[in-house]
Amino acid sequence: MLNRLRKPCIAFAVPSLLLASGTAFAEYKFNLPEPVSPVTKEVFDLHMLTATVALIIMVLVTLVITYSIFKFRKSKDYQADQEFHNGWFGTWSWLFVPAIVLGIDLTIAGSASSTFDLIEDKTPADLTVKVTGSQWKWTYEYMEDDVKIVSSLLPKEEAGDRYLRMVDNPLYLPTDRRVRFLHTATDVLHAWWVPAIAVKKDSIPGYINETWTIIEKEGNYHGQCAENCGTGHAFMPIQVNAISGDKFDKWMSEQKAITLAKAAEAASGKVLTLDELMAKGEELYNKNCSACHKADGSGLPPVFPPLKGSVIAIGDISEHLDVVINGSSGTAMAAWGKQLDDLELAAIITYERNAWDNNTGDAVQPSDVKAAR
Amino acid sequence: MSTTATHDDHHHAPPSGFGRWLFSTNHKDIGTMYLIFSLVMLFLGGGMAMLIRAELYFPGLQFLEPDLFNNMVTTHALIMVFGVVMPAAAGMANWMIPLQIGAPDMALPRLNNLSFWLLPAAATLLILSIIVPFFGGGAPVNTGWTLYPPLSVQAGMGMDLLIFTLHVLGISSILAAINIVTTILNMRAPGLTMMKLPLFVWAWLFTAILLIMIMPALAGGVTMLLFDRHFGTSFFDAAGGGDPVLFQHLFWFFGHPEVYVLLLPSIGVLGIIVPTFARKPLFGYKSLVWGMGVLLLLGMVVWAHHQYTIGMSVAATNYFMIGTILISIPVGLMLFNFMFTMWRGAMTFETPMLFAIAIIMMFSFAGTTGVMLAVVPADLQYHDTYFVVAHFHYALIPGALFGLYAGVFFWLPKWTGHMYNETLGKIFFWWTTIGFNLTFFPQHFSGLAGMPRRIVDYSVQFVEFNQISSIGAFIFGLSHLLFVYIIIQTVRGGPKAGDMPWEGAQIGTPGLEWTLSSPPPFHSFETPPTVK
Amino acid sequence: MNDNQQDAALKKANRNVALLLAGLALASLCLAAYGVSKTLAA
Repeated sequence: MLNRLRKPCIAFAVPSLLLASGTAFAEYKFNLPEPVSPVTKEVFDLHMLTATVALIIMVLVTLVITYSIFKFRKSKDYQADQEFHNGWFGTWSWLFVPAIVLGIDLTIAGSASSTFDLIEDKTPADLTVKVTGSQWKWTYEYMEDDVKIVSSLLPKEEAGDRYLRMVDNPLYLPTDRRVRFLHTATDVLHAWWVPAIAVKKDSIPGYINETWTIIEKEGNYHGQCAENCGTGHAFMPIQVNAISGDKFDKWMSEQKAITLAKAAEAASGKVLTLDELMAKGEELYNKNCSACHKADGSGLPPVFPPLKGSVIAIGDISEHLDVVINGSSGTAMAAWGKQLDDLELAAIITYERNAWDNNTGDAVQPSDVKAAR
Repeated sequence: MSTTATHDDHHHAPPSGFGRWLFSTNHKDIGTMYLIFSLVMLFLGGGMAMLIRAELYFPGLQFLEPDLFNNMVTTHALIMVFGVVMPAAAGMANWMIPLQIGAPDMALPRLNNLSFWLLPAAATLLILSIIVPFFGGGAPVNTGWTLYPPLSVQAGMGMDLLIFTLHVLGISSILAAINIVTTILNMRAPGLTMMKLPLFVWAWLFTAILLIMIMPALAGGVTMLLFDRHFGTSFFDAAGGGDPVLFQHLFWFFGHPEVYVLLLPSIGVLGIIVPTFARKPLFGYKSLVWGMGVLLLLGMVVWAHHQYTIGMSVAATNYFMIGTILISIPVGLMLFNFMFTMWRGAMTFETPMLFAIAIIMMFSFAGTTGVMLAVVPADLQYHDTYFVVAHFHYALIPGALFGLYAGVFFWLPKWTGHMYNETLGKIFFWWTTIGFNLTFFPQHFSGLAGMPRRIVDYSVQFVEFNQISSIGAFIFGLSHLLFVYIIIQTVRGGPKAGDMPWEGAQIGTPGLEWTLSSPPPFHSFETPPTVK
Repeated sequence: MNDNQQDAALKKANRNVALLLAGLALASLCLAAYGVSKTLAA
């Protein structure tokens, strides 16, 4: 109980301190962020146009109403004009009001339509990134280079006051190159949204949606999942680090080397010791599984069952493999077979079978996973 | 006791005890029950809003787990839409339509009883859907009121209960709507032609027709969801050849016109209140009626503007954008007509009029942000952020809820025979309006700054706006205690209200309701009045 | 008051309008079903 009360108190103190020191204030904004791509620039201008129209209309409405309130009141002995609605104004206003509104509407729609054509422009891109949303992380695949990045929330301890903005593995993109994004999802709906560089598009299981951008300025851009995807919806930020083309090419060759090394390791058929698997498994578990099943394996019942002492984690290995690889239909458990390789799955399953006093002593090998697929 | 006396007794005195309400076929009793039901639900749904705002006062997780938070978001919306605004508007329709058209009662009185008593059943199912997760019923419904699959397929038993809730609510609304249309078409007093009807009656005619057309789509959609969940179909599962986006189309085919179902009755209330207190006939009566008709038709064919981000074809997107922007024409015309009803009037500013003026201003604002949202490229930035939350609360709280408040203050003297306390009424107006604006105005900015909807925790950059918003929400929420106090005080006593407590009430309208006593006799018009 | 106190002609007219509106609801359901079958067939 005391703990429940203490949390709000700390939570109150933290933002107040931040406010006082002004660190949070630096990002205090009233408007859309500064656009850094041609699309977001046009969208920003369109937003300013419609906002200006809205402002003008509101000023007019306020003026008419304020004038009426002060002028046409009974306390000032104003006599109501009972025939007002029968005059020329009353007779024809049904025609000219819609005409004026239609004029404003068409101006806005025309401008919007050309911007939309730009958004839907399908010019071939220099680089294609497949963006896959899953509960609750983003997977980026550089299609041309066969490099994959899994990007999830950076814990509060590491992110500090940029918590819920920062991720562990950001998406690196080159500036001044045309990047095409392909959006899809593995489980439920998500939406990839980085306000400064690209407008949002839903990630829908079974669909592939397309957007594009050309980032014109180096920097780190942040966004968030913008379609409710369940428990962790608030906890799947997006971070794009835009770097110059040269730096990007260098970064990409490093990533390729890492990917090749990993593939070689997985293909070597090497038998790993329990300790090796446990060390690797702990890291991977904390990254992929602990959002739901918790770092101590206690889960979040009733939605996310505990793994500590669970029938599956200390029971038959083949069943354990099946649940992790193929998921469990009708529950929130995802099919991890599509997202992780044999070695990673083997390490995670080994970790789950031996951590938190589960002590089964089983060392699941990548070959076992391969056989179970 | 002679037979005649018993007969008379049966006709003129309301039956006493619980049976009066349970078996009631009297339009005023059923109207009262609708209104009380919606007031109770207002506090339930409002309480959830307070929990949501309390959680969002600080970043981090304080009171609610993520799933419970989004469960509150979901049920808050469903309660406010189906439990508060629709029943309150239906209650006013029950009370006022027979009085305004000079009918003895609704056309189908026993159906009327059924459509009301389905509501408490639906409310019970809805509350059960919140409770079952605490007793092993699986995950709470954390989808938001849109219930999008596949997320809604993951949820536990609460989701099934919600689906049944929507079925029961759908039946209740369709029955009520059928009754209202039949009443308006068949039960009008001799001489009361359609173009003499008070605007409130017209508004409800359109609302009811709209309800009959859209509710089946929702019922069908959630039934398919139920089958996907339990009977192995895959309507919405891409892996089984289905289409997750299909549900969105079905939902919004209902969901967008539903907005007008919520708004139109209140527009009708405004069409009665504004001329009354401006002491001058409604400006542009005909264009208001036609405008509502156009709004109904346009509203039926623009649903996909809620789904610009799903990746529709360019042609379809442009069609939905232009259709949506065109809605500003009838809406703009309506607001223009109300403003020019006030122009050159002799206004006084009793509580209903204060609400009416505030509604015109705040609803205009919601209209302009609506046009901003209709513009596809810009909506791709606003979509699913707090900007949208701010927009629809500006549309629905002034546009629907405040319209109903105005109606309550306007008709309370007629319903109870007592005048409400004007000073308290005005205090309530200012209290609630300031609270409302303080809550929702900052949300436009947090949305533009990048805060998505339906998130339980946010990064520190959004703290200020959320704290202002939460403080506003508590001010707004608390003001409703005064609202209930005023209502109870008026029901229990207070200065006697005359048959026509408002000076301008009969200007430019037949105003049949004001020819009856306050409160009206148990059976409204035993002999139909004649309208010249 | 209940509908037993309405005269026969009004009662019949009310029933007809109510049935017509119920038909409208059914038509809407059919339209939705048609839309669903079209979408899923595509």
